[in-house]
Amino acid sequence: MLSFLKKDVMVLIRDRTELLVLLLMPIILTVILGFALKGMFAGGFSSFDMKVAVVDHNDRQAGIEQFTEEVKQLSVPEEAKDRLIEAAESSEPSALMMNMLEGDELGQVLETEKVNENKAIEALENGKVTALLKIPENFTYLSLKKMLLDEGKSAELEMVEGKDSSLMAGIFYDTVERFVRTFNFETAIAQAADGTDVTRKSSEGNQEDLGGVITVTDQEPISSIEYYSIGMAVMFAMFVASTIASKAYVENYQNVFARILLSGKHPLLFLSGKAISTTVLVFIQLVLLFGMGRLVLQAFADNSWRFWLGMLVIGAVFSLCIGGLGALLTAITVKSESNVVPGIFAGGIVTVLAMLGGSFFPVSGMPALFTTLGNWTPNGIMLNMTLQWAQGLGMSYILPLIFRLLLLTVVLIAVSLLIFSKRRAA
Amino acid sequence: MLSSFFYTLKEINQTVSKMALKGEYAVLETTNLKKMFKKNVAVSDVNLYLDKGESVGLLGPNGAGKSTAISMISSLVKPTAGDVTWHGKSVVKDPNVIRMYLGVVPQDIALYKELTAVENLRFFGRIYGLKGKALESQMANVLEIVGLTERKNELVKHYSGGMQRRINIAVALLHEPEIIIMDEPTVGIDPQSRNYILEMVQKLNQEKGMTVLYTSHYMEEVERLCDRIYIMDHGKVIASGTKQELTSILSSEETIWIELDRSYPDLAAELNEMEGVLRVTETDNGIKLITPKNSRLLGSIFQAAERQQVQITSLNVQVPTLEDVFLHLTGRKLRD
Repeated sequence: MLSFLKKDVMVLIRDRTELLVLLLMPIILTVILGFALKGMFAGGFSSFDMKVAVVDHNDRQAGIEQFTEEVKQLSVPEEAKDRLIEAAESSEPSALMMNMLEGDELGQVLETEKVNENKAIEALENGKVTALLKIPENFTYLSLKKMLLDEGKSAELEMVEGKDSSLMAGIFYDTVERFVRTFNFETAIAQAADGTDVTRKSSEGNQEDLGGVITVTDQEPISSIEYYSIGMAVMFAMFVASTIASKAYVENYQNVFARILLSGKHPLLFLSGKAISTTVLVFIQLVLLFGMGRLVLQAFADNSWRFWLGMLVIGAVFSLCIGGLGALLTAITVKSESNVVPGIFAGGIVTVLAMLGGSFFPVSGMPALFTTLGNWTPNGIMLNMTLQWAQGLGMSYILPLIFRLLLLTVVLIAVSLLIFSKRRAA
Repeated sequence: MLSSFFYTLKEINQTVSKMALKGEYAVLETTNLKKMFKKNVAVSDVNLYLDKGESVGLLGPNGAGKSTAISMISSLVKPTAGDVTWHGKSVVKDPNVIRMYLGVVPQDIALYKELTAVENLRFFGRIYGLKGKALESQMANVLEIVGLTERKNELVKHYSGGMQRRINIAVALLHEPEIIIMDEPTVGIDPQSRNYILEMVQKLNQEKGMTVLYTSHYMEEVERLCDRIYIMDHGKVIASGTKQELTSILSSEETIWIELDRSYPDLAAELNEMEGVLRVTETDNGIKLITPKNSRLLGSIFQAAERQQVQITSLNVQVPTLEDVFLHLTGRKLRD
């Protein structure tokens, strides 16, 4: 097996044109697309169509009244009571947040809709909304009490992300998180003016103590260069599969495959050799592309070693899946004794898969069928998985996608075995 | 003339049957081998055998079915009917009975052209189970045989056609096979390289005792290398035997070769009508006649040439060659 792997790697390395296409083209395209479409990812949101369902269990007026009643019972001067009640009415956090979300600036790209919880979940599952924002019961009362009296437990905003809209959901999280952070900071300053310890309460780790909490992610949204580093890498990985299949065609056509069979080796060894070679070559390609992206384009420059370790695992699973794709293309090519299939795959199908999978632009705003298909392409799954991982989402988000990739790998290998075992040669 | 032709074929088939029924196993033997691709018959009723240390030729024009026959013999293609046996064991039932003892030199350069000769040899050696010193020693050995030791580290794609053919043979020799099957190993190369390969095959057969099955459409190669010859056409073996046995098919005939300054179809037509002429074939620069021995037709030929106002540049009366035998049996030249 090692002989097959070594031979395939050497044959590909000696093919400089192919090597340049597989390694240099993704970098060039990343730079071109990254800079050309920068606006889509940083500032120019007009092309996004972001909808958020708001489930409001909170009764703002009742919360203010309950807070007011409690303030009146306090043994503080009347003037202080009046100031606290006034602050509660003017700084009620849920109203401020909704004003911000529905304001002129965000309102152009973000549409919020208040719905009941069932409808919100349904809309989220159908992909009609990017995320769900839940304002819990007693949010106004709890946050005012914590914020102004430094008493009781903190109020929590709950956010649920749509299955396949990690990029836009990330932007939304970031927006809400910034609001909470700013709000907490201003509250901390106000408390400091009254003699409270500013240093401790304004620190990031104490947001929970002050008002609301965003527990989803604390990562910066990914940049266009980062997005296309992934998008192009997953797209060009698929070209490795077609290249391997093309080389298998030449091996079959020039009777090299026959010569291998005459050595007494089982034909499946040839096929599994192709699957393993594709896997290893794709993994090397990903390492080189992400490495170059990190060093040359500063993509994911701020991420920790834990991020890169996760990327290695994600990359390995994706490589395995493309290995299965390589085996399938090889099986069809050897069976049909024609180079047409890898040609069509490289010349057209890769582009379609890349588009569906989001390599050229984020697809979460596209029709449901488009995104559903994209979510079952190996490149689409890998792109989603990497974006979620890069945004700091944990393994619980990644694991379903890893299993989906593994399932796809098993299907690809099973089909390729079925086709290969029915080929003409003895 | 027709009865003479059929008698000849019958005679040949009887000879083949006798050989196949010798009562002991040949090293390699085929029985009524047949291959159909959809409704097209590529090979039909091919019976042949090879004894240990023999050099046997499979002669026939392009498209005669030689490569298909070889593919079935070497276990790569399953026959539609018939069997191939290796020391009496069926290759059709179990291809592995022959594979490790067989070296096949395909008509194509079945190598990785982006790799060097050494890298190719190492890869194929390993898949044949050779490793370590045994592999290195065997690589050096075959490189020596094909005369490429000095250029072993060059990429195969940078080799000349002749060198590529030689390293193609070297790979087939790596695992020291008992029998080597060569499918047109000299196609498209210069005369020097061709001669080198022919000498090499002769050495392998005569000095190392290797059994050789050599296919070609070059009559002179088969005549030079092979103890026995099978002639194939349209998927069938139409004659077999030693060179002497085959040429004896035409022992009662002779060939008259008339060289002309250009083609004269009218003269060929007149000669075809002439009494005593068995077959007339037009070539690029002349006409070939097969006539009964001592037919005394030369005077009539010159008279016909004068009537047609044709200038004869030379005229030879020849003993029949294998080419003539093929012409006699099929009505066409080997390289048509």
